Amino acid sequence: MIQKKKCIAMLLAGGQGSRLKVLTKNVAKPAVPFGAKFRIIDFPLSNCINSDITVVGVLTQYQPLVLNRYIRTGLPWDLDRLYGGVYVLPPYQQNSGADWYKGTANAIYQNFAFIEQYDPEHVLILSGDHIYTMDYSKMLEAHETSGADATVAVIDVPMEEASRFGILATDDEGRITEFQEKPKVPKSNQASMGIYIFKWSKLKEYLTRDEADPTSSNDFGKNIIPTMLNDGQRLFAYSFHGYWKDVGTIDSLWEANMDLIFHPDELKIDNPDWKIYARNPVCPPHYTGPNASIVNSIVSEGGTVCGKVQDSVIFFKVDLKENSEIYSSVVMQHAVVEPGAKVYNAIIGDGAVIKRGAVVGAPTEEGKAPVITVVGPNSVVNENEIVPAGEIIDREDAEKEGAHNV
Amino acid sequence: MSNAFGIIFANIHDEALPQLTRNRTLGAVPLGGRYRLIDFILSDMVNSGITSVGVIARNNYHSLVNHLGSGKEWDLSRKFGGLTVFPPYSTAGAGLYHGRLEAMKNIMSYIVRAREEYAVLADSNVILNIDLEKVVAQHEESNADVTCVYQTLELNERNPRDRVLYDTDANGRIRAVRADPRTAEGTCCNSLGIWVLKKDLLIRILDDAQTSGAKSFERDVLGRHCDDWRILGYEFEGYAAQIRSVQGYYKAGTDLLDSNVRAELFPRQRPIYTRVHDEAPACYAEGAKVTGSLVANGCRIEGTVENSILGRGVYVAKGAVVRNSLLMQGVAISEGASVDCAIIDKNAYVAPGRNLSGAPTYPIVIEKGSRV
Repeated sequence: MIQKKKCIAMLLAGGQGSRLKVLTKNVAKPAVPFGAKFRIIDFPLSNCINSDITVVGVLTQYQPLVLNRYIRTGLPWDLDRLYGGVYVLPPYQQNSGADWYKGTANAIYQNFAFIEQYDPEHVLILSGDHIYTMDYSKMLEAHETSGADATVAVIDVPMEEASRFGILATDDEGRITEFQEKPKVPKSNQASMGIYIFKWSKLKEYLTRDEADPTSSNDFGKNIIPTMLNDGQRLFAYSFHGYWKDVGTIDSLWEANMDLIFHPDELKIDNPDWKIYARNPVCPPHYTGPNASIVNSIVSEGGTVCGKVQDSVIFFKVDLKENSEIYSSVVMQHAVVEPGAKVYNAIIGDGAVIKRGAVVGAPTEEGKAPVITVVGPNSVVNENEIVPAGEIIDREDAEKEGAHNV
Repeated sequence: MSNAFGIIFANIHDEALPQLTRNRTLGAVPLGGRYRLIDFILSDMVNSGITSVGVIARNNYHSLVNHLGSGKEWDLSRKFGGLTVFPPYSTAGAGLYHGRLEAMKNIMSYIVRAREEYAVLADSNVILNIDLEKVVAQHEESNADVTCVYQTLELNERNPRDRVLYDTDANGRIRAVRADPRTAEGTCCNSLGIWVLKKDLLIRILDDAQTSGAKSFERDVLGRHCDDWRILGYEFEGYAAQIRSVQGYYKAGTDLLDSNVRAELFPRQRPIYTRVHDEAPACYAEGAKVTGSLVANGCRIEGTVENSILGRGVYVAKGAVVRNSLLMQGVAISEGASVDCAIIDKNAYVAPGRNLSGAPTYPIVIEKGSRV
């Protein structure tokens, strides 16, 4: 039975996210842990269910195992449905041949059949690279009201950073007049958030044309949007106001985690009316030891904190032993910090072990930006070892290679 | 998969905790920050390969049904078997049941239809992590009619409330059942309220009970058949707490602050499952001082917390002090208030500057939703 859906979402989760270095060695970027209990993909998935979008195709390609195991039937996001729900969609062999997803547009093109099952009027295209909460139903409403062929979500960025983004120019009614991908001299500070709603009939047409063009790089930002614009299609911008952060680099991932502590009102992860769902680990509450000191931090369940924690994000099932000290850091699930070890301005990957007396990173120098140090998942920092600020440690034990720390 | 199905009595000991069971069954009483009492025995069954479990409720079962849902979180949402919750219903003419025999009589068709050969019966007032597979295995090997799980305790109690003791012989065979004994002194085999028997025998017991007028499973059935049946004990040597009073509840709660107890109750391979609530991680503000405590997700702590257990979404304001207390979900302690040796039920509110203080042997109980 086919149940017609007005709008379905396609979430692009195939990217490697190579700028996250060792953190995406074994997992796709959307599966990178964030905010003490989440993974990046929890944000778009929770936004979908909170926006009443109940069909979500998750397009995977790079290291899909962890992501697959994480999403499974979609139950934690209430996306385990009789009609629809969440589907993980890897590339597959078709009658016409088999290919990897060549680009974001091609990934959607290869899943025509999936989309057609729901006979949607509109398709929402999302990426798994950003931390934000957004009501997609409002964007859909604007898209329908304007009668747009495509609506692009935009956010104001500081002018000096505008050249890092896809920048739009609009007329008085919000209709897009110009689109420049990473312009040297930006015409505005309205940046594309990589969130699009297309009329499915139009998108089908343009994806088919794009596929036939051998010179195209099959990308929404580089090809589909500019082509539609050139053809005079009705493209509108939808302005979003709120917290939105690309967590594609080590620095930005660390910053977004720190925002949870220093700016809790910007991205409300504790909003009962807009919950962020996650697959919850099975574990008791966390224990704070008799000599523990935890201030200005968030801590998830299942772990033990016996040392000192300040300005930090501590994931579930983390073991911070007596006299360990953690400052301005993100410690991911199952990591262990042994007695006397100190961690400053760092991201400690899941399952990593910081042995006795080791020092990871350094405090921020007066008047300078913090330099972030990374200890990769399942890596070990030896006893009394000094890991200089800015170092990226990748010493994953071959036996634990890719171990899924849940 | 085990050759046994489970039956859990969710209400049997409600009167033990009157303040906490006014609006819920005993099995649904919160413990340890994020659990309900029933989670322990239910998870034990699941971890022992039992995939068909009937939970019998009597009154106030709303929060229990809400908690258990489809059983998915215990992996008991199954095509065959799985979790079945029996709200109070009675066959024509019978009122609400009293005791385990009547409770089971009401679900006779469920028992008859069970595909498994053995039944594991259990109360929901016991906190332990037990491998029931071993109990069933001993039951089979020893050719017993009934196997009763007990723990050995050194007791010195007059009129111990609601306690059942077994007198065993050198071979571990139970020779007498002492229900509600006048005194409990010396080394005693204290029933943990977990029994294994063949399904066929259980059906016979229930049929006979109707004619013989037997009311109590332990006193009237086990007690009367010590000689003609092989009733054997199974000694459980790990940590077990049985909730039979407010003091006992308080002790079981604070026991969880001991890392050895936690290690026994929450081993990685045999986790205790519970319903998840999607709370944000706990937030420790500048100035928070938290030591020796268990803290669940969704808490916000600005004040001081020592040797306490904080359930989901507890708020401890600036200058507030919480010591030696068990705070359930959604409790708020206002600025400058202080709480010592208290059990504070769900969503209760303690106003600024208030001072609540009990003793470990006589903890204060603040009821659900009350404002102090």
